[in-house]
Amino acid sequence: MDLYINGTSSISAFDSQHGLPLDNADRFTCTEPDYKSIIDPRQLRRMSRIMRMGLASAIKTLKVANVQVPQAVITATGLGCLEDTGNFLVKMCDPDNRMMNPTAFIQSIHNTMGGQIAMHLKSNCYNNTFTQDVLSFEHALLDTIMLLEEGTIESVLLGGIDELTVLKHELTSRLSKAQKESEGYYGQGEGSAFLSISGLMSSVKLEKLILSQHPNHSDISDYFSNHFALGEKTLILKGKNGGNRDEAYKLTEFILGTKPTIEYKKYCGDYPTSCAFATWLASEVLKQNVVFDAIPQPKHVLIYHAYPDRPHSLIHLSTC
Amino acid sequence: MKVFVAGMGVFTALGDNCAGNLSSLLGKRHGILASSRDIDTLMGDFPIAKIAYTNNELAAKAGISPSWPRTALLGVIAAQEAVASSGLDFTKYRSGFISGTTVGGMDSTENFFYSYSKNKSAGHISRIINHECGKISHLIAENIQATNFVTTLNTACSSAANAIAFAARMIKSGRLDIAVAGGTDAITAFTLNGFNTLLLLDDELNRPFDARRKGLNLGEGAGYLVLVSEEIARQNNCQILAELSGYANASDSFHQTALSDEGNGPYLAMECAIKMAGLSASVVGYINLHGTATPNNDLSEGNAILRLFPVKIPAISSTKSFTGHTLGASGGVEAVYSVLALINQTTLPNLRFEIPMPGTELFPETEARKIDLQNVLSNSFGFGGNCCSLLFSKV
Repeated sequence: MDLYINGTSSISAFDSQHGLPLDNADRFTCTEPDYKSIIDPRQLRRMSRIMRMGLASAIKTLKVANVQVPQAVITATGLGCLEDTGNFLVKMCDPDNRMMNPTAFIQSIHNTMGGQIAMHLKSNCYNNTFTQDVLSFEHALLDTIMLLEEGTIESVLLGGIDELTVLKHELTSRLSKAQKESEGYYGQGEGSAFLSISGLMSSVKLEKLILSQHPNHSDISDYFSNHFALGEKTLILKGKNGGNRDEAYKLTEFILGTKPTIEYKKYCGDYPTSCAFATWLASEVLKQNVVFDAIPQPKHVLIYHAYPDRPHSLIHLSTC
Repeated sequence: MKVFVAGMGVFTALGDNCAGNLSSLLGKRHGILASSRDIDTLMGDFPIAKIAYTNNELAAKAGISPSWPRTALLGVIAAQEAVASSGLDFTKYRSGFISGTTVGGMDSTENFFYSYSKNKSAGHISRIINHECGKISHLIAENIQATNFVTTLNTACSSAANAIAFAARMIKSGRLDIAVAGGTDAITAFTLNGFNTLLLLDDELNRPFDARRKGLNLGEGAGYLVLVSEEIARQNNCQILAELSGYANASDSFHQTALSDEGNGPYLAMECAIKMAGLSASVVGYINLHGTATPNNDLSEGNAILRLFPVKIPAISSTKSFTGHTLGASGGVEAVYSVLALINQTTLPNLRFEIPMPGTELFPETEARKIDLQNVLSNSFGFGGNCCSLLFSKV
């Protein structure tokens, strides 16, 4: 079954109108829109930052895709709602000032965004939330593909969301120091990116998702070799973060070494569901809404993630 | 393609395996024996269904490192039982581990925060490395060698049920041969205090579906099924415990922490699961209720049942009156209980029920009663309106 991306929207540190953030920033914080034009201000007041980011990009995606109510809402988040989790934890662990707030607890759970989106749409649709570290988004995409292939529904709203909080930045930095993370690390990031996916033909086709299980990831290497043999204009979006974990990319260096490549985390920072941002970026590049200087306009984008001791992933998008 | 249950494992305050849990259920011995103060000395006194083992004891039992978060320790013991009971050699097949959890490594994170809140540079930072829900699944999957696909779902209290449904779809679509699916959650100070701020905890033993119910008791545990395709079952001459004949996910779409009074999400989840199996509601013999004993959940679930079964209400009971609410694990624990009910052709009791909810006239089973069971429904509903029902059929 052929699947297409009919609409996308993203909130990230990457600003396609006003240029790109500087390389090697310490952290990548989202440039947030004026939510009042997207979400009812009465609702907005009660919403945490990650909920605002998630709901706003979900609403905009559906608008772009011209879908009123999708038949499934699938979200991915590696770390969930960190601001509220942190707030509740800090208060709970301070015996002198134990003023815990039920709202923080309610909004701390990973499916908050999925539930809020369904409530906003007043929809009784399928709703699921995946949280598998750096592969959360790919697994949510897999669920999307499976649902559409099963044929019981026709459109899916899919999103990946993670937030960077002061506490997360502090603790992760401490952890990186403890684990001796290397110098070149691009920095922590955050973002919300949503996609509307269906069988309805559009200019961006979802060609393939591979989650490689093999120790040598030969299925992904073979896919790359076969693809490049066709001689199509192709851009690689690599999930390198500049740190120690990039070792895992060496396996495919012999094929990808000379190909046009963008290390996209230079623009959004490192976070578990950054692959959702990459998929949004790939779609924007294929539609020529985002143009990278010195990179020929591609017909194909291959989004590649490699991790030590974890499955590698490949998402292939194309335009006709 | 059919998906069968070829093995299962469960660990709750009732016992550390299927036989122990069943014996407590049939003998009406509940596990809500500890106090919230055993977890958090600053809290009020609320009954909880805590598993009596310490983390060190759990680690020794499972043969793994005591540095694992409690959620992973509980999960690996139930998963090991599930794998062993299936008799399958996982390394010969594409085997996956699909798990639901809501707290992940929170107990270990809390330990760090108790030090950190006093002094920002204090605390062992390594204690937070397994905080993420996904890390729990990764640890367990490696231990049971089900590593061809590992993922985690967090849809609050329906997490494990959604994990089981997703695993079945992975098998049906030919992506996996075998999946260990269910969920695990430990009791933590975070969840205890969270439910307490929401005024959802009962300071006495919970009373699901009773007119005088006041709230839930928290519990902890893990429950996993080994799901296999028809072909794998045949090749290995597997013992088939049940068929997972239907499942459905629906949003209630009413409120972040409350279900609609009429139970739209619960109704749709149950109805679609039965439809998927190609059956009519009248063939459901027993429903293992979500039945948290909060005023809202039980009324909503009760109303949905009254609408879906207008002629004859099946036998119903909430085993949370034994195990407390095991949150993200409950769908896994109760899937195991549902299959146990089916195998043993028995209903499971609902403790402490005396007076039906006004206007519903729903009478849960108060004794384990031998009945002819062909199909058992297991309900799980969560915050965010995430509803999921599973249907198990006799093979």
